[in-house]
Amino acid sequence: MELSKVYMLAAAALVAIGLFAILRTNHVVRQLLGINLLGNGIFLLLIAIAQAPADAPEEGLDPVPQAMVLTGIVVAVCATGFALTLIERYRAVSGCLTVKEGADAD
Amino acid sequence: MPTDPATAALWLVLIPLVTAVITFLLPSAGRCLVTVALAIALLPLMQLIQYLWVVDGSVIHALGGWAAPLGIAVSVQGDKAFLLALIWLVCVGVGLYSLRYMGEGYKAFWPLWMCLWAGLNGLVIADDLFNLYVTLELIGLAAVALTALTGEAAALKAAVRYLILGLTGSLLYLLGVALTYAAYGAVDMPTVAKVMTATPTGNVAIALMTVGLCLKAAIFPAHVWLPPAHANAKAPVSALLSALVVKGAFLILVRLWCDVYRNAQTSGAQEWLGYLGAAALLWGASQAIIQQRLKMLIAYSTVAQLGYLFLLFPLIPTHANAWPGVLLMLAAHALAKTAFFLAAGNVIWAAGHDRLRDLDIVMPRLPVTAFAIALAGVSLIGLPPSGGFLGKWLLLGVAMESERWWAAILLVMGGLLASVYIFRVLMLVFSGKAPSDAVSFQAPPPIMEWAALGMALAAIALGLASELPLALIERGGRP
Repeated sequence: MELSKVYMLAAAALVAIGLFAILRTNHVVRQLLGINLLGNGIFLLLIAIAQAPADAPEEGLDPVPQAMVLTGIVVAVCATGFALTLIERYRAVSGCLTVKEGADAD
Repeated sequence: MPTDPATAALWLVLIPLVTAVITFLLPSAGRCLVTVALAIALLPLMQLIQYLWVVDGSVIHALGGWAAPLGIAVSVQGDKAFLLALIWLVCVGVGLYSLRYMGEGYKAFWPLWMCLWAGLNGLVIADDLFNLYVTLELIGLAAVALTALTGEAAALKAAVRYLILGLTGSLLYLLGVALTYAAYGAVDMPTVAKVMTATPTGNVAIALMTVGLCLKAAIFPAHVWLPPAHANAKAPVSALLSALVVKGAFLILVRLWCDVYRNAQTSGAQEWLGYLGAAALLWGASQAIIQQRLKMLIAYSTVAQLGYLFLLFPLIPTHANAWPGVLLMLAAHALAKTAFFLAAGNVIWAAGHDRLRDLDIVMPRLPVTAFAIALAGVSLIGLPPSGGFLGKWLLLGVAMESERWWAAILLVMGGLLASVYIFRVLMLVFSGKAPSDAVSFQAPPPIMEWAALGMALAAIALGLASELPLALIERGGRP
């Protein structure tokens, strides 16, 4: 199997695991890890898209998706750092790491 | 200052960004710097509007001289200039209010707010799907940080929920952008629109982007994060979030469905967005009616008003009056909701809480604030001569023209439901209870009361002087 197909399958798996984690748990750190997995899956997909098609290898790598990945990584690092800070503050104030439905009325 | 109208659009992103950095470094000067930035931003804004008025064309700028599809293009047409002006106006109202409201403990407010403003302006002028992702993240992170500003448990909890949903939404959008690039080899919107044909990859891409943006736009049933986030933030933050932030995702959705994927044979999905709007309208309004806290009531009213924007979503590309109608509704809601949230901030300042049943002894002592709520209510209900009425009138015409009687009935019913929750608040003013000295009462500073009233008056003025904005929206044609 050519490399870009392997990347794409791996990307699909990462996206699926990430989405599963976000939807399945109530624990915000795990959800954040799920978001990171989802993000990494998307970055891997972009890397796979950047690969030259197998029947025209002389085209080389497409730089545009790679530039997107670079920007995406910067955004992901900032978002994760900020999210962890916020979650830590939330834990310090409320003493828990879940955000359940309800109990918002008052 | 800029001489070229195309760079004027970029100044509108640059000015708030630079101000954000400086206010972050010099937090004590936040107030002055933001005031100066708001004043300076008026120059490029006026230049853009004047250019569009005289030339009646579209302003396109390729960043760094690299033209699309490889480079990143920004463009401004009449409707975008209208939105830029609206964002500026809301920011001025919020700014005047915050001069007194945001005390020394809230120095982080100024840089975060400037980031939000830069992100919103960037979102409006961007013509590139990936660029839109970056602005979405900038807006999203700034909005979450602003929500958490008070540091109280309820606000932090709402902020964490908002963050998880917001990040998931923007990543789903990014996944859609990646697939769009895979399918069409471009992320520049006009380029994609040209080469668009319905392919499986392209369809999955638009579906993912739509789901992600619906999460961010808090359309029913993805609205659950909105009321706690908007209700537990500080008043100016609630105003910014309700008036502008949720509209950002909506604007991208409109551009996706009405420009980029216009030719795709997927009108069934657009219909469903309309049905979601109908559900949001009924659910949001009925929840607003039963809320016990003033700010929760206003937040659910936002859920309902977002429903109006989605209601005629499928008709925007085909009916000439739909887009101006939606834009007027959007602007009227932004101004009225800013006024309403700022007024709620005054009430909390005066009473120390926002429990509706205990406000009947406080509201009669806040005549200016009560007047602001009444005028904002006029626009939210859609009574003439407000901007809300005019937008609704245009949309009602479109609904009848296309024989969507259910949409026409909902537009009218939405106004009736809105009047129920607005009158729940206004009745408190005429409770007839004598203000007693036993209750603690702290009069809000006049500038805060007048800022709220100013925003409400702007929502009414939008209806009275609607010719100017309507003419501006038509300038340069639809992108």
